[in-house]
Amino acid sequence: MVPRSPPSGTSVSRRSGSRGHPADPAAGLPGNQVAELCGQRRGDCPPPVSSFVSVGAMKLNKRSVAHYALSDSPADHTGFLRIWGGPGTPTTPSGTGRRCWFVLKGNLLFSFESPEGRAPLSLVVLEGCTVELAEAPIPEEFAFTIRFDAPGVRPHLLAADGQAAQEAWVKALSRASFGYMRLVVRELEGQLQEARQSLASHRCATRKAIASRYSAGHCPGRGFCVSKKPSCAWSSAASSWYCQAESEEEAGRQSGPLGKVSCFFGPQSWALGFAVPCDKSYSPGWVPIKVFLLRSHWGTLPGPLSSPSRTLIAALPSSCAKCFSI
Amino acid sequence: MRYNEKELRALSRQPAELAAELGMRGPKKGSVAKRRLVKLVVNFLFYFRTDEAEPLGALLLERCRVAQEEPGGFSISFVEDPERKYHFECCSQEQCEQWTEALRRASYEYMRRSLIFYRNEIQKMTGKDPLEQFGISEETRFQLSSLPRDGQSARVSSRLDELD
Repeated sequence: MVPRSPPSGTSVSRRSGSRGHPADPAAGLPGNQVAELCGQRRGDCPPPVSSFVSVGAMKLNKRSVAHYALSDSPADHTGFLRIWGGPGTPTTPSGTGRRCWFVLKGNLLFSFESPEGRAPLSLVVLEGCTVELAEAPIPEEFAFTIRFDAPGVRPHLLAADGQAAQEAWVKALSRASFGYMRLVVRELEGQLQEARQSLASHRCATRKAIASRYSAGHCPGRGFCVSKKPSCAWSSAASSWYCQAESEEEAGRQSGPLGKVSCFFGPQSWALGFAVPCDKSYSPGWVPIKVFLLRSHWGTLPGPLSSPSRTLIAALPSSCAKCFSI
Repeated sequence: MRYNEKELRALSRQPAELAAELGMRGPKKGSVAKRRLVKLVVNFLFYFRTDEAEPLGALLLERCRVAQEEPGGFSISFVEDPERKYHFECCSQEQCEQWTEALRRASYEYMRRSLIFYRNEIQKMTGKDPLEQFGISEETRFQLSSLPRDGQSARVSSRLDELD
């Protein structure tokens, strides 16, 4: 699909000179309200007419957006591209276009004067678009287009320096949408859940002998570890106990999706053992227990079961302790 | 900095993750709360006058901080200027919690972290890279090295105020 005419750059209703819109929706000055109503800048606004419908410049938190563009969050793709229709270029694809440095971050495509540019020249939000290799009669080599579903929007024409770059850009841009990322996240979320379920049922089956010693019911209580290393929260499920990470250090450098306590359990963030009451005193409402570790995320521990390295002092809420006949 | 406003307006018409009428107050000192229709679409928060179809504005939600504010409200601020807050008033604590949760998860960077986390966990549990079957395991956006190093910002321009 070939664009019929080259892009004219950004939406035509805005002049590049119209700046000065603080991202403040509640600026209460009368002049500002009038300006918003009739959609023009302060100062050149005719008297408001109630039936007059015009669209004012949409505000955007540009400063934060630019900060994001310049921040060291890694870019998904970068490189030089030639563009037509930006400032200082004719609107027909004559000449070689303007060469800019492009940075793709998430679903946002920024352009800069150069890799050292200190302020982005432009932003293209990549939602609801299709990216395709440009075909004849576009005479440009290695060109591609970004076409939007939105009505009345002209496609953006860009060209790379070579075929590999062209293909890499088309690939990167066509997968830049939020929706695509969300799809993959949901898919993996489902897969993780399945993996956990199959792991849990596997464990239940093999640990039955040990678990049956303590009449465990399903007790989703939480306890916590007193002698840490690392500190963790205990909870019990089915006939085994699982330790859930409560801190980022425990879980490793990556925190869970919610940035707080999550179910990090897997081979590297769980501990398995059986508990007996112990004589340490703890806070009211808590039952101190000594756990004999069979296995844990910090490795299979050597030594006899009763040795200090194989035991852990923890505390369960009293309600949970009942489930475990402690 | 120019941006594709038309496309962003079209985005504001897409199905929203969350939409509600909330009180909204800008970050400028002395600004007054106004009723706005607030709509969360992908990583943008659009706000409209309650009787208008075209958005007044949008906030990109990357590198933002969402905090609950007493009573029954929340604020959004951005990493580079945490004192500059957009305030929102909810009609109930539940609504407030619903919005803060949704907004915290609304950024592309949050999704990227989630994805990398899930990928890692699945790999540890099953020994297999879940992205391989889709043929996307080499994509830059899914690599561990794609996580931003918080607390550092490079080349932030003092000319940001003169964006156009």
